[in-house]
Amino acid sequence: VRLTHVADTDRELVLRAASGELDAAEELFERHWQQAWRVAVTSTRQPAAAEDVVQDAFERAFRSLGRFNGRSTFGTWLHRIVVNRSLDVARRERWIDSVDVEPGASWSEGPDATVRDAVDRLPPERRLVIVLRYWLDFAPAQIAEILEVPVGTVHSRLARGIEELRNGLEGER
Amino acid sequence: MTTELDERLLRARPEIPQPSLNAVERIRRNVIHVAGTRSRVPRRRVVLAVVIALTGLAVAAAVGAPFVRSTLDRLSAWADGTPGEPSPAAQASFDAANAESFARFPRGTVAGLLLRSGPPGIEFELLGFRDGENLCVYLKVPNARRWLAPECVSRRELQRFQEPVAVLGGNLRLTGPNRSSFTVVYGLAADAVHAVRVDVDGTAGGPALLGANAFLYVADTPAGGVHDVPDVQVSWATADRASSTTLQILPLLPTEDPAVFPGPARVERTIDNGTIGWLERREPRGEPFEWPAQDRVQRVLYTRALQPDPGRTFRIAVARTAGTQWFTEGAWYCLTWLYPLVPTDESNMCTRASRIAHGLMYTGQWTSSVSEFALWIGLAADEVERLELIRLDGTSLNVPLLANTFTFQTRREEPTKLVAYDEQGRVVVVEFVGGRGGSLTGIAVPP
Repeated sequence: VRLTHVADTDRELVLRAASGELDAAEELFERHWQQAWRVAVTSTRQPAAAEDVVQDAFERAFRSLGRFNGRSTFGTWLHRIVVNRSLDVARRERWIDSVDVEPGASWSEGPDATVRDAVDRLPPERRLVIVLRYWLDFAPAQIAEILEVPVGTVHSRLARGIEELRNGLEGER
Repeated sequence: MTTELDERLLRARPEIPQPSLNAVERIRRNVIHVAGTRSRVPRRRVVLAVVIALTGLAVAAAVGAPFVRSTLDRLSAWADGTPGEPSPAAQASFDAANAESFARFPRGTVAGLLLRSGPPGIEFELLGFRDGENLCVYLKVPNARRWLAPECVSRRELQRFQEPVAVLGGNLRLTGPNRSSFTVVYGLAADAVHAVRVDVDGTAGGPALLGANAFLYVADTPAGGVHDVPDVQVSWATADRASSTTLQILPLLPTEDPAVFPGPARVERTIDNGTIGWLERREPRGEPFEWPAQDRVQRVLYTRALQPDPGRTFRIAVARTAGTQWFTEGAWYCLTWLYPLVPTDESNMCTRASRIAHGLMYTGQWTSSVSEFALWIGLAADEVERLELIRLDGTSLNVPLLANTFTFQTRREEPTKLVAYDEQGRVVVVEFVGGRGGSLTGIAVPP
């Protein structure tokens, strides 16, 4: 009889997955894909690209389980990869985005479209901290861990992003 | 302390779209496979499935008229050289943009002004010109910092086109002066077409300007924006017929049934260790090219620009890169489109070099979301001698292949099969490209 692992910690799942247990990898995927998707699609604004980012992030994470040092949680580690890949997409696709809006990528619906558009116009790194904080509810300390920067840097990036947003929105009035 | 802007930001939180269950399942399958084969080369097929669903809807009844062509194979405005009216100003800006781009149309290419439309002071101009056997249109956006990529379609494709109107380009949220936002849709129209109408999401729409065998629709983008998956309906009327095309971009999943699709169905020889020798050895091919930017996670080792299709003024830039981060370590191949009239930019596709092991990697692009045509670029391994594109109707064409690079154009909704042969004529790759189930980006996978 196969005993069901009840509520293994992520750390335990990582160790089991690293030793080749596919059900542990499945469980890690189950626990984290939705949040990874939210981060990817909100960061890239392109569902098709977000699918690739999520797949790529899990692949990279799973290929490197042996190197997972446990200093951060698996979730933070995964989000770090998702965020980096999303930033790469955002930078690479900047031209396409400026020429056209990929179907499925438009946030321009609803009464707050102006704010979303203003957020979208921020440089990718600054947009990212705003999105992680305000739309994905990450605490500054979590954002700092994901981005591998001091918490103070997160606060200053948030402040600069907010200031830029305020200027942008006032400029449109 | 929560400020008013904090509250606005929180209120503006977008509704996050959910991936389809099929997409999640596909990702799950692929990543679990990787987890189980961490030391092996991953074999996956990247699918960004995009489709155009075509429907026919009558829009108007037409009454008798003298016979005029209702197909796009011969357009009277394009019959004698340059279409449209001469426009020195438009020509000057065309020449300037052409001179600045890496892939340039031949010197002396003359662009005629087909149509001009837009609110006072903000006029969009649609230019028309030829590029060899291709008919090209280009939308000049007032005060634009960047030129849009030209939309070119081959005569061969137009001859196969069954409808009197072809949508070549469009943009549902094109930024104009002072951050104004416009919906613009344009394309070619047969002689017999006497009216074209464009509707977006069934709410906003109106008649398009028609002339010189072209149409141009310009309107303010609706205040509420456009739907995430917009329907763009282009309706037309000829003397004896009225119909429309609905361009709806949706992810579709089932692939074509290989059993019923013409052409080879099976691989006769499997390539396992495909590579691109000249790129690995850094041998010159095509033209020197400087990659637009060094990537943060990859180092560009060698890059060249090639023109695999001599009949199309268009280049493919290829780079061999090496990952610089632990998650990008190893060899990569990168590809990017080099369109005439637009500056070189950073949009590209990079794939692990190992992913060409089974013969091909390719990716498709349309320069605007509202277009019936897609332009594909790809890399073939050294073992690939010839490429053939086969359509569902049984017609086929040889895909130009130069120094392992290739390019071809398809109608987006038309399923095609890309077949690669080795020097003995054996089938080494069979891939479905485009159409309702084909991939937008892919690599060959072993059978």
